[in-house]
Amino acid sequence: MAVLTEEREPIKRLSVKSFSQIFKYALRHWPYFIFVILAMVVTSFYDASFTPMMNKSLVKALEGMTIAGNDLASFNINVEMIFGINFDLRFYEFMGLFLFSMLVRCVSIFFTLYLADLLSVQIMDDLRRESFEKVQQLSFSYFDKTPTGWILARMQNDTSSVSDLLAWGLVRFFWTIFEIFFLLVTMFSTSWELTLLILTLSPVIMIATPIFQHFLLKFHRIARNAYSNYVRWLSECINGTSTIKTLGIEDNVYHEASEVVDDIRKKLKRAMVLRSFFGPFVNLVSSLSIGLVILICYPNINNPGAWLVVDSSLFVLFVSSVSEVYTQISDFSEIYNEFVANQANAEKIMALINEVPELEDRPDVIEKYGTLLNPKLEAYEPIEGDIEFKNVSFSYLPEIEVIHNLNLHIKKGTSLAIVGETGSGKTTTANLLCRFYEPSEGEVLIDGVNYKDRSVGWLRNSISYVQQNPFIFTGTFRQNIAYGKINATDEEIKMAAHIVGIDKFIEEQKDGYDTVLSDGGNQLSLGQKQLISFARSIVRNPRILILDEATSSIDTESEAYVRGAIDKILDGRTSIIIAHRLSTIVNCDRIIMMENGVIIEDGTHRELMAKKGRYFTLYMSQFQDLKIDTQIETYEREQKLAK
Amino acid sequence: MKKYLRFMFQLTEGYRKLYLLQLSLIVISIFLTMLSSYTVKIVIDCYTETNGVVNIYQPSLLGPIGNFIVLIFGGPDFIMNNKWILAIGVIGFGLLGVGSFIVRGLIRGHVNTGISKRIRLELFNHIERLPYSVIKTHNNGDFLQTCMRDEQVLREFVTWRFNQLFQTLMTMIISFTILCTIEWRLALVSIAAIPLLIIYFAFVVKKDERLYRATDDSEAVVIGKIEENINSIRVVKAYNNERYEIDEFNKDLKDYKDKFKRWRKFSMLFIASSDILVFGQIIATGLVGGAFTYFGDITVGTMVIATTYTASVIWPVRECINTIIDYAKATVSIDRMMEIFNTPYEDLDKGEDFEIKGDIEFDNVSFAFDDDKENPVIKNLSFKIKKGMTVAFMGKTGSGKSTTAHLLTKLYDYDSGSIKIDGVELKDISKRCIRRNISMVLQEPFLFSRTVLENLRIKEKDAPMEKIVEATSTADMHKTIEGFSSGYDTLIGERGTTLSGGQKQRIAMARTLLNESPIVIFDDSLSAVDAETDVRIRTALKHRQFKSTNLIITHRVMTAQNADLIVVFENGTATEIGTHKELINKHGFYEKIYKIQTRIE
Repeated sequence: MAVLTEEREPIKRLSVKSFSQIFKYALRHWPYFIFVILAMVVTSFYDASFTPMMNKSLVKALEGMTIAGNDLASFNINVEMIFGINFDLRFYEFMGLFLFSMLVRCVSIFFTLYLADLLSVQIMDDLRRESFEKVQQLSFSYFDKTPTGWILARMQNDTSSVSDLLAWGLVRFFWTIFEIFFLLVTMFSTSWELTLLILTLSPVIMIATPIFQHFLLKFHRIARNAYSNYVRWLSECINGTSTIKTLGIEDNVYHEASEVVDDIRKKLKRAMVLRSFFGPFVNLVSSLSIGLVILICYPNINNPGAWLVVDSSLFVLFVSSVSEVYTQISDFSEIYNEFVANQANAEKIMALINEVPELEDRPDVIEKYGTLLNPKLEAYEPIEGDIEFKNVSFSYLPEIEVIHNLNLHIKKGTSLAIVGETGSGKTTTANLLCRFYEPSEGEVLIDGVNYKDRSVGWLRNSISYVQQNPFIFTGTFRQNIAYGKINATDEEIKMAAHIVGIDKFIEEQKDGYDTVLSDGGNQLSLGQKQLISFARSIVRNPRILILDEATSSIDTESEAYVRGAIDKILDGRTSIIIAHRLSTIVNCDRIIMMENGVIIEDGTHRELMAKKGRYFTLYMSQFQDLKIDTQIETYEREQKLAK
Repeated sequence: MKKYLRFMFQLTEGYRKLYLLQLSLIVISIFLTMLSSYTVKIVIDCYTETNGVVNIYQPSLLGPIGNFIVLIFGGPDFIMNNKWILAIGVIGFGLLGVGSFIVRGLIRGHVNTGISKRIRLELFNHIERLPYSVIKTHNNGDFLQTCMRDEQVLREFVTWRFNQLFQTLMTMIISFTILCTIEWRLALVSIAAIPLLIIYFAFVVKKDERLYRATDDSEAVVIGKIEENINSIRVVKAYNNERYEIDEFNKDLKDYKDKFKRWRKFSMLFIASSDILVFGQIIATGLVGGAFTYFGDITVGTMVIATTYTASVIWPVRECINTIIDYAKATVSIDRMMEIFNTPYEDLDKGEDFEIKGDIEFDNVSFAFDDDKENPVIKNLSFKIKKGMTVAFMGKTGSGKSTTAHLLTKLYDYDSGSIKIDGVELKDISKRCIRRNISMVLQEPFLFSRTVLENLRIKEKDAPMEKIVEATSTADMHKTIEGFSSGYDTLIGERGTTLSGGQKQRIAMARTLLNESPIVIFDDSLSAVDAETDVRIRTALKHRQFKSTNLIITHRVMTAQNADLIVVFENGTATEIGTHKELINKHGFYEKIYKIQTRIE
């Protein structure tokens, strides 16, 4: 069934190479590491050596007594520590030492956990900051070929999972090592013979755990894929509810739902079944080894002549330490697996950070005008707005040329409309002008100079490009308009709003210009959004203005005042209008019609209509596609124009 | 509280026996683990003496459980001579414990996934069957959120958190009881810190929660900023605002980092300080146990297990605090789910079900949306359509064309007047019947991210290929599909080929034609198709073998003029009804549009 897609990514081995770069992010914060390691040493020593040895000493002191004592103050305990350290304490001193050390452990656990958290947030901060900066520098072509969702997944999720892994994974890795180290020291220093005997069972854990973990990882990955499949399916079905209802396929869809949901269930259950064997497995080995400890110890306890000298205190120590060793060993392989599981994410986030922008200024241009992020604004020449395309050809993909030898001179201050079918090269021409892409051949001259001889920032500072779907940032009206000129004054903002005719509307809002727009400006109509985007485009007083299908998705009610606004904002600038709305282009100074990357007709609206060529046909057929309201309005407008 | 617990209880339906079995297995495995550690005590008791007598011979020091274990292993003498039997005992209890652990894990997997499946299915089914009017007024994102996040929160609480709470409670009760049977004072000491721990938590948790919320909100800002930036990247670049964006983002990052640090510092201080109680408890049990042993009240073995039991109780208690926090989250999720479940869903089968022929009659129909009852969108609408006719609806935006179509398909219910299909009142016909017999092609059709063929077969899984080709040919799409890289098996949508608006409309049209419904509504469904293709499609429709009543909502006079009947809508009612010729002679709205559209020819 097609609704279930199986995606099996192979589980790779841990590759140091793909992690080496990401480890550098952790190493940058090496002082944290040193402190964490110190704190961990203290904690591990307390857990794996101090406490067991103190307990052992207490048990030993007690088991030595055959007759009950009567004065605790005179109860003497001989404390044995690891590395052969040995001293006598009274019971109350013993208690004091125990409590004091516990406080030390609490302090060190605080530092361990807190510093690990700090480390993780620092790494995440670095990763997010660097990937964000990189994204600002990448060119349009990168965003053409990379799905938005992919970039978001890297920056939102991978940055956090990888930094968690780096910080916590490394901390846990060292922690486990220290724990095992101190446990072994404790065990060896009390009875190396018993330790060696007990450790004979450890290969079982060491071999079985990675195998278990391998399959757990695999099953969980499969279950996760099933889940994302479900999410995708679900969001599609919820978005397509009207279609499902009108087709009357509720039953089919419900059937699919059971299939998709059952698929997750099966796959998740498999992982859970395996997991329900894994935990008990470690317990089982622990039980076996405790049994083994008893079996080895029982002929020898309190038997001075035996080959192995054992007393109950040693016995108690081993019983508690053995299962701890096994737990730590199995933790170890779990950590390893976490690194393996996140390897792909680490590789992807690094791929994003390492991406090289395709379009950059030449070194000598950077020298003169500064970089994109650190421009030398004082070196920018003022721009007039005279545009010339000279023998320009362009292809997005090698071999497939979409603009062929384009020659076009747009005199400063004039308006030009470009029309044509989808794919004729209209938007590409505008994108070339903005230098979102550079010509494969030929050159684009601005004020007579090849724009590659000046910086990208210089050009974009004086150009406004209004796109089909207006984008509203989360923020106030003021901020949204000022996006065109970050340091715009209040007067400039209000003036821009006034020119496009949205000032009254904004002032009527609860907080006027400070009204906050959220959710992409959900509370505004498309027409209002486009007006704001117009205001944004003129607040910077650009010499060149491009409207790329800026009116095509506007509803009928808004159209009238958007059109009024356009006439005003074009005034006095070099402007290029790519339009669907015929009403917006009829009074442009010049109209060119493009087809397959070439200009096929060139002239004013009346000239082209009189010619009865392709423009005429396109105009008439497009006209009928308009909503009836628009047809009437456009017609009336045309009539007016004819008079 | 009661409402929430009842809701959670309902979720376990069908799995209650297994759920109970799982809970009893928890008790059994706790008990077995305790017995296993108790056996270790017996081992120690074999080697230690109190007042000159080996402890295993002193029943009062062994406690009831100890005596029981000694009894089943053959009495003190037998044990003293065959101490290996105790090793077998530890392993045996261990094995039984492991066994019950495994069975419990298996049951848990079954119950968890089963409950989760049920919640998902029921939730989805309910959402999918909600009336159109409810769906229109809800945000799709909210539905998704409930299906994903709320489901997860609730399931985790019911299947995991609750178990954990139960397990902790049982461990506490069992270990306390066992210790009580030997030395009640020691038993009391072993749980002394628990109330303190709970009080401490109660004091601190609120602040921790508040700091967490602040951090979470701040991260949401960072995440939102990333999303906004990526979505607006072309605007950012066009306005040369890269530097500005980076500076703004760094501010957000710093805010998040500061809040995160503050929260974690507090949390970790909280954890580290509560560790004082946790470790203090364990040490206290050991030392008090040591003192009791010193005075000969208990044995060394008892002291050892008291420490072991204390450790096995106190750690889970700390974990349990999270359960309380999660309960609050679960209630929020339940509220959202209940809101969906409490909205009644459409009854598809209520009313008559018969094979419709295609006569339609509107008589004085009026309709207003629930949120705007004052301004009806359909007012006294009347017209008659005979079966097999092709009828064109024309009118301005908001004149009521689409709403009329929605009334006819029972997506909305009309308020007054009468709609009759084949002479039967629409209100008396079941929704299932209507939706089977009346198909609608939407203006903005929705295609699933599957292959072209699967999209076409969405309703009839095994529609024969000839019929499919017939439908796609009628929609003038067959050749285009064949031109795709994998023909009919081309994947469309996000992960496949992107289709143009016109192509989508034509596939949706073919999908509808396949149903061979007696009534087909084209809701402006050729708006993205060019005029020439439009003509071809209409010609093909006319010559189709299967004859249906067609309602075409259109803004093209070319499309309308060939219809058997044209209905012109203005302000929610029909102002002109007739054939092309009749309406032209009326010199009204239709004629005006006609003139505009054909003025140059």
